[in-house]
Amino acid sequence: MSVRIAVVGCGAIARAFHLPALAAVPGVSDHLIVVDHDSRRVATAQQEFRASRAATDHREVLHDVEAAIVAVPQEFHADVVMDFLRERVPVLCEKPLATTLAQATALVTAADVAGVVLAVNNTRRFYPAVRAAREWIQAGRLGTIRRVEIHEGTSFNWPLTSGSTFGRGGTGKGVLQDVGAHALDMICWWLGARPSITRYQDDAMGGSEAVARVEFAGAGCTGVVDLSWLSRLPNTFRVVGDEDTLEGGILAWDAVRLTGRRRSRKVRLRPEVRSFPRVRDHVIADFLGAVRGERRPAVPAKDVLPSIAMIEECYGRREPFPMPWFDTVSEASSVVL
Amino acid sequence: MLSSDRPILIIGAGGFIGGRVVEMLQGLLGIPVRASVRRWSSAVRIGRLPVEIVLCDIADADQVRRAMDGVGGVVHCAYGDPAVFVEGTRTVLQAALEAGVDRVVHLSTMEVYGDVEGVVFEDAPLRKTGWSYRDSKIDAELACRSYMDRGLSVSILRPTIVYGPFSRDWTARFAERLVAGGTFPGREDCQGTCNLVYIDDLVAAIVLALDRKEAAGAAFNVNGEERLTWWQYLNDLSRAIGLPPLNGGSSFARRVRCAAVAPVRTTARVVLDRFRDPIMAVYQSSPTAQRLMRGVEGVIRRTPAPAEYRLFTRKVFLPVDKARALLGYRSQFPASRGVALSASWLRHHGFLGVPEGAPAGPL
Repeated sequence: MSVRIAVVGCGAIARAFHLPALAAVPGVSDHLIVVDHDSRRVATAQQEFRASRAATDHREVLHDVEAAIVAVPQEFHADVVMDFLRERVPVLCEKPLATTLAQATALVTAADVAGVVLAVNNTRRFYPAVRAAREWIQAGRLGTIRRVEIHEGTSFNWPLTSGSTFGRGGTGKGVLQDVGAHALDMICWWLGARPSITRYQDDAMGGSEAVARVEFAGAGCTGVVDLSWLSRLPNTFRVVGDEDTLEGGILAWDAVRLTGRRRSRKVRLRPEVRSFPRVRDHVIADFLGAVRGERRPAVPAKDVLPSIAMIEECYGRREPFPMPWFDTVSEASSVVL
Repeated sequence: MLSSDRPILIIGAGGFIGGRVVEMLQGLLGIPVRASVRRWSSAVRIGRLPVEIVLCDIADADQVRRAMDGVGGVVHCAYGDPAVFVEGTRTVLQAALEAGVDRVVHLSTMEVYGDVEGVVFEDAPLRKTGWSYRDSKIDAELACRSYMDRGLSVSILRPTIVYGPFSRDWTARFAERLVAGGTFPGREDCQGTCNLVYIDDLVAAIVLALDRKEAAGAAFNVNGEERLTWWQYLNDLSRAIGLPPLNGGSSFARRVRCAAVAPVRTTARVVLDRFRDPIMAVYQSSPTAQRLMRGVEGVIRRTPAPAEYRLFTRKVFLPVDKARALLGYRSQFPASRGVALSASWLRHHGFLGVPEGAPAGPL
């Protein structure tokens, strides 16, 4: 069954994730439309992925498509997604769905009114260890959850085509809005509820934060999320229940560790998704299935509202990290001034 | 010379030195900065500040000219492919000349003196040895000289071992090896002079070189003022991050280990250089391949490289008398202070092991 689909935004995520997956789907690849405001970039994407059409403004294709994937810089998500929803076009939006809770809520409402699918690419929900944690927590296998910890960081090397996140004139929102959109969504998904923020610290100094720490509490559970764009953290999670503790690598495909009162053991996973390239195929198959009415999307937009609310709450109560190595200006300036 | 009328262009602002220049110029003097990066992904650190950031590859003359528009001074910290770097430096100098820039500060290196020992002042000859990094830095200095002859005001700085927060080579890499229980050359193989200069001292020297008229047309060593051995530095770092002093045991066994791992190191580098994309594809698709590659990487990281033996035994010292006399440079960060600040940065960024309560790593 063919689907005319537009990919709006031909930057890093579209080229690494959406376009290769779509180009491999029969019935979709022949009708692919690529859109980017940069004419050179969109021409390159059209050639590379053999798209049937290219456009430099998404409004040119609103009436010509049956589905859209929105992968523009995050500050433009809300406006672009809304344009498609108004034309009753189903949308898969890159995370975060929007940069404010009000925008995200408006999009969810618009999708409901239009009666179309609005899904979000929170890919962590496809990762085997993250899925296993959700299943075990929801099934009560760990007992009542008391503590959740996530430590995710790597030296940032994503091949961005825009610098809109950074510095003067940037969004002022960095690693929390980016990686945090995954991590906080994992927590809300696991717990089935939105905890409250008890403390939020980051290293932004008038620009966008690169290191952040979120502390939270709710429903008898506390937790912490460490995020970094500047160094490699363990990239692990730990969920402590009053019966068992589950630990895993966020990118672990094959096993998690379960520790009870008497013993600790490695539990083998048998996931459908065994590598990162397979994640993108599943995400696209999931969205296309939802567009065709065959299933509910894995991550409906409504599901990510709690994590967007948490992110907004964090930014609303920002505290600076103490950074003694940064604040040495008085010592160094004594020689210069 | 420094003023707040025109911004200072920092080329290579995504790197260790350039990043700190941006941070300190912004906070230190209130001088407007235009920070240039080759890739947006390297703007993460400086993007925390409200600075102007532009994309600029020194291999692209048009980008360089655009980045240079309206600037008062230039700090050239960029480095990359040696062949591209020398020509790129000429491009920077030509654009600065055409733009009427007041001063260019060019970041060179102590390595331009070659493998000499003893006390080395700025008038020592520059010696090529076939090492592309060193030779390209010498060629870049020669390019600076030719532009000085054409009327461009250029100051050349030759920093020594620059360490501190965000130093991959001389701080984070050593700390990670210490934490991982890796090996270093033995005590007698670490008696060379370390020539440590804390990053903020170097940035202070850069500011002076931008500002002082005496800096024009001259080259300066930039060093700390203590003569520490590598053994002292490594032990200071170990203590500062809460670990015991280094084991002073058999140097012979360590040399054997270094020699045994050397072919693995060389092969891994060559294979990765030539086949990076297919290797990364295999890495992403196979947990077994991931474990294997991480294992090899771990062995390499925990073992000293042959080059470390050459560096750690070298007895050379670069005085800063000239920078002190002409620029008023003084080191403000003794090793005790610089290492302590480095340790607090390492701790904050997770280099000293997992944050409290986190699992130790992928299972």
